[in-house]
Amino acid sequence: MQKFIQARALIYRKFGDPREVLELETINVSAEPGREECLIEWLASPINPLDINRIQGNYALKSELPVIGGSEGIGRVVKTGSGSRFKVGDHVTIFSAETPFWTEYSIVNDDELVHLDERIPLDLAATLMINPPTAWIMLQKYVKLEKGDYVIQNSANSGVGRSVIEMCKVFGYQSINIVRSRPNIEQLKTELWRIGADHVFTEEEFKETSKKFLKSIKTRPKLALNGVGGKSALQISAVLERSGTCVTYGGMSKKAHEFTTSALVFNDIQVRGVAVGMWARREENLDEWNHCIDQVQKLAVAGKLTAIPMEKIRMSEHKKAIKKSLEGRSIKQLFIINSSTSTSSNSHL
Amino acid sequence: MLKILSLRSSIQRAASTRQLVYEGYGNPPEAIQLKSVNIAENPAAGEVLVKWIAAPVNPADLNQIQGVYPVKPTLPAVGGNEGFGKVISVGSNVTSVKEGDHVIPNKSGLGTWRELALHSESDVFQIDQNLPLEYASVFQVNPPTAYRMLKDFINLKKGDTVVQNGANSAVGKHVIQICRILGFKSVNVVRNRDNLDELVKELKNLGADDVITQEELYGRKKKFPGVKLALNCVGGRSSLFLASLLDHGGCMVTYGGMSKQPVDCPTGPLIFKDISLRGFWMSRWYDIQKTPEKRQDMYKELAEWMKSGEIVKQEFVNNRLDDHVKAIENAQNKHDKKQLFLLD
Repeated sequence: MQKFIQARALIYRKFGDPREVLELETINVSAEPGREECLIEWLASPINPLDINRIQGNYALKSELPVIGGSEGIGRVVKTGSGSRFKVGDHVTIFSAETPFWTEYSIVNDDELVHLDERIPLDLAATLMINPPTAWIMLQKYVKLEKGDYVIQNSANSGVGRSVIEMCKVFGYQSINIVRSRPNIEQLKTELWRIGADHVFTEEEFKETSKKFLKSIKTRPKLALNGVGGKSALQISAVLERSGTCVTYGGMSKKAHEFTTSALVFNDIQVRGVAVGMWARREENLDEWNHCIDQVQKLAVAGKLTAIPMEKIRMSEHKKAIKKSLEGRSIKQLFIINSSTSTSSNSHL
Repeated sequence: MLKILSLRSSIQRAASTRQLVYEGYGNPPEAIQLKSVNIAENPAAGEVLVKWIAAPVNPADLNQIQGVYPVKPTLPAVGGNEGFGKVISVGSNVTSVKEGDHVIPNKSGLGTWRELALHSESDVFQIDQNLPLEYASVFQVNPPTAYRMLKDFINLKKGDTVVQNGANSAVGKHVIQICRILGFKSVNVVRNRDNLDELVKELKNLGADDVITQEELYGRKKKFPGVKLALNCVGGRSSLFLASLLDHGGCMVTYGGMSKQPVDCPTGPLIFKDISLRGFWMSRWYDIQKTPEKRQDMYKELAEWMKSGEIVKQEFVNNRLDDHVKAIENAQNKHDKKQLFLLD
């Protein structure tokens, strides 16, 4: 008879309002991983905007219901099946179309698992597979940048934005960072300067001072990174160097991305877009993707990438956490699923 | 019209010629003046004497006179960026053109609204001498714009679909015809109007596969599979919906902004379908050509299509230089037919 363990998991059985359709349930997970499979004890996983979209059924790829929530996270191997390339205690994450992170345990095939360096802090490891690779790909794959070149971005305070700042520092690029104005703006600026931002402006400040500022720098930015859309996309793309590129990775404002006709026609800028999940799954990008993950992990181990500020919560607090994520005013919510120091987890088995 | 003035103390002879000049930026009908000037009759080394035959009034010409166009000639300047003329004589060391050749400007801001001028050899470019006037006078901008946009951004194959707004423009009509010639399908967006049926008929006669109104585009009822290329000269909402029609990996090329609105693009197609937005500016394309071959090849192909009637003639309102106020006012206010100066 097959042995099972019980796991609590956040599951949705239909698409809809995440506050309503997401439920904490207890499920049975096989205690015996099959050939080239592992039993994973999940440690931490954030609530990303992507999760919200998926639960609402608004994401380009719809999963087959019911679905265990989550889009990235970190777990630990507690048992390995025969022929598995992993060993007990390995830190892992999933990179696959199906990403059931919001559960205490699951069985995952080796093919879908990526090994994470155990030296990477837990909160950073839990958010390593989407934002830092997005930043890495955008900085590496669209424009050939030299040391000292400028990169401009909006949404500089987002997960991707912070990774961009930190990677610009590593690669020797100068980052120009636009954020929305807010009550504690000076504090935010200080924080972004601390992680390596060269210049930080609010949208309003940049509108007023961009002409003067752009005259003060040697060359205009060759790359603009856009996670916002609307007029903000226009603002950062209009100051690009001739034949520069604007790469879009999100549309937080929910408004269409705007670009001036003259930037496209007379200044020959290019507008591109990237969704890291799709990019990574393209056959021709496979080697590059593996290289990217490798580099991102090295930067994380070296302390050159840091975790974004997150609020740690338990899965039982999901309603409150989802509400905060939907409102978008709070910092990112991170589910702490199993204690990372627990070595007694095998006792459940 | 060509008066030869003999100057007693000089071997050099001068000719009087008329030209439309602006001395400062302003409202084009007022800023432009008809002036007579004397020019040397014999081209110096590296120069050619060109007798201009016909030149249109384009929107870019008007913008240039208003001072809002990126190419700003030194003032005072002769108006007009397009047109064609005939080489009357050449100076020493001129190799790329000879007497009798038909030529068009080789750069923006040359000034074509004039009868006779001396130009540097490198400022003119030879075209097919047998090309009728209606084609030759507007050969430099619109047909090549359509041609390049269809060739340079996406490797289109027979049966692929191209969508465009502003399909009724001169570029739009060339896009329709070149698509037909090369075997691409064209979906054409126009604004609704009283005589819509007539316009649809006209565009279908040119080879349009589909003609839809802007409202139909926004209604999204019709589906168009296999759209690889979108051509946008409107911007705003029209560009938003145009971009939404693109297939995976497709490209929207912007070459104008008639609505004066920014180009809009939705997030989904941009990040999940890997579409790209580009821009095209004919002047820049000309500027970055290091050798004449690509331009010659394009001109040859276009000229063949024109001489065989596969590309139809544009219709014009003909004007003399004396009628410049009326011609320029009409160009500003009436957009149905292009205003042309006959300079001969």
